[in-house]
Amino acid sequence: MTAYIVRRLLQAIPLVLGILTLVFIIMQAAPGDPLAIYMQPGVSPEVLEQMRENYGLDQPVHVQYVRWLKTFLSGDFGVSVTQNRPIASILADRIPNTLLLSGTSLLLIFAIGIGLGIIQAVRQHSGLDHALTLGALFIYSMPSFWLGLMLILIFAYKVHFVEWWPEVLKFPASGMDSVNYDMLGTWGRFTDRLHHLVLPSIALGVSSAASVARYMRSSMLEVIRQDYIRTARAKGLPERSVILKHALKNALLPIITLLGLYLPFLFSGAVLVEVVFAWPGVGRMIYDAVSQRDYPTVMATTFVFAVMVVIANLIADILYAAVDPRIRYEGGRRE
Amino acid sequence: MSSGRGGRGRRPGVAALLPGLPQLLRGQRLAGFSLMALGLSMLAVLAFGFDRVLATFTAGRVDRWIALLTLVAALVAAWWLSAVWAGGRRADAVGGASGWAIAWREFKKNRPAVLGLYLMVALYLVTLLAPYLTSYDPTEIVDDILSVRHLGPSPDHLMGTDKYGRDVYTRILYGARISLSIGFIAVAISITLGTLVGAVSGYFGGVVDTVLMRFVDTLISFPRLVLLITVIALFEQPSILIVVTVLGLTLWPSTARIVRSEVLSLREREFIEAARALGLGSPRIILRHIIPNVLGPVIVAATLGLGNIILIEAGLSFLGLSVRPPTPSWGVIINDGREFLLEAWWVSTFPGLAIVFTVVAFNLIGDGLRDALDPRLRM
Repeated sequence: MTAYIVRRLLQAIPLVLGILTLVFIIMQAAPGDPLAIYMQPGVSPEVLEQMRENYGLDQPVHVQYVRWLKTFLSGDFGVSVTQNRPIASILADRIPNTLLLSGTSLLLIFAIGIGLGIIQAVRQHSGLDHALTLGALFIYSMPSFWLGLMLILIFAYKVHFVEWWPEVLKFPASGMDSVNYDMLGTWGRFTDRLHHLVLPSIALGVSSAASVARYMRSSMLEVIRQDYIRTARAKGLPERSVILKHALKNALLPIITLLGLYLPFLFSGAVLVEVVFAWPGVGRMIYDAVSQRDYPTVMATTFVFAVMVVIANLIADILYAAVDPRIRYEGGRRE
Repeated sequence: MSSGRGGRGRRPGVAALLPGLPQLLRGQRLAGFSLMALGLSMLAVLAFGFDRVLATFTAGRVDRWIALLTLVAALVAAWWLSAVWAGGRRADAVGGASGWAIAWREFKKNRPAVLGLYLMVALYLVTLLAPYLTSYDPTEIVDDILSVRHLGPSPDHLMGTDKYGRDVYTRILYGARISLSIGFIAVAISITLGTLVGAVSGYFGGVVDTVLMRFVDTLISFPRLVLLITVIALFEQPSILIVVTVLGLTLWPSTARIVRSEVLSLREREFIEAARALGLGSPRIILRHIIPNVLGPVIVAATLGLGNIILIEAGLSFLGLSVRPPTPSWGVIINDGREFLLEAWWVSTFPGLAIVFTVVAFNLIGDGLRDALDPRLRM
């Protein structure tokens, strides 16, 4: 197992290097001079020249590249032009928020997806099965940002006009916590945060949940057909325990690989959902940086997103190897 | 062979009356219904929008001429096909049907997929006929905004009006052009590129394969939208052309992976070996022998990708990174309605529904094609 983890870690290194190189290339293509903000009437050309030398901008590209690699890898992403703060410290504020949102979504995706998938597989070809398949098709085809807007419209705005609607199910339209968050106790903070999480995580996750349900259904159907399930039934086990104990374990295996597949998708969606819900995460950060033409921040954020995907893939692979011993002996990479 | 010819009905009178009727009478429900729906809907467009059709000759705009051409072509096609097929040329028992014919027969049996196909044809017709389906202009802002802004859905404005008093239904109709054409061209670029890279990578193997696949791995590590945002942000003024190119150039890696894995098994097959033994060059083997054999999965990926790209483009234009606001694109319209969500819910709601139905159509077709082209993959 350790050998496998080490091998996967080693494979990730060239990947991160590739990501860095690509980010560097895109950065080189960015329009404008990196020193453009300092080009003001009060700054003399000599000072600019001096700065150019200090930053190494007069060096050839490959020297700049190596230098940039070193600083980037040490976690120094430079200073945000618009916020006048080190980008690393902004990222440190924002990354946990994005992870919280995506993590909640992920839980939702797999809980709903696996649950529905099992129900559909057990009741194959029933009316319920067909209805869920059709519903999943529509939900799968929905843009997350539009779904977010519709959820806000209904569950944050319109429900206030419905008298009998319970207060708990009136959700906030934006932000991560209420105005009085700092004055709340631990439990109060927790529920407040949870309340704010509901709509964005549904908007972000529901389409992937529909797709997980589809995979789960076919995976479950495949497993149910196998001999050991027939044996379990033949020896008189209740159907419930056959499905939930014997079949589920093996049906879940291929679903774990989906984890790595959905994360890039989830992060893409996070950009849109964070913008819609004014969620202070990395996705909103890159959107703001793009609209303010703050290129260093855009590049750092892109890099962070890619690295999060790489790490997530690593975790998914290791998780998969942990639950399915067969995978470790294959030697090569899994396609 | 003779069953079709034997049933040759000489009913020119009936065929001339209504397209599809002869097919329906002979029990060819799919063909009959399709032709009849096409003919009747085109007649309806002509009848309800007759003055708009006439305006084509005075307006002097290219899109109206295209619409006229589409209308005439669709009408002619409906009647002509109806007459030709009524002649009994559609014999079912074609000896030694090709793989594509078998796939088509398989596809026709799949009712959801056929529904998706209808939706898609309807969408493209609507896109082309947009000027005849509405009497408003998608971008024109009338002087007296206050009296027309944020009107709810009514017979006059089917889907209400937006904050500038523009008709939302009209904007969605014209927005379909942007979404569908961007999607179509971007998919064409990314599929071509992905197929070539995947085929080369799989066929040559070795260093070429390693280098190309590492590059693919790197590109795939970026969340799609993030990569797109980053690249598009490099341009001061993202035009449609730039967006299409960037979309096409960033979304090919997944196709390349699919094609590569197909080619890996294909390259060991006897007919490739035979081609090599004949002394054919690698480009010829790849283009003439490998690629035609991976077209099935590629077509499936393209159809499913089309729905995906429409979603991505909508997201980009929602963020203001695609076409510029006066031009209607579905994402732009949704964004327009965002600030007045409570006062005018219709502005954001309807374009979203348009996106959902479009993507559903492509997903249905894609699933149907997958079932038809590759029974192994049936879920």
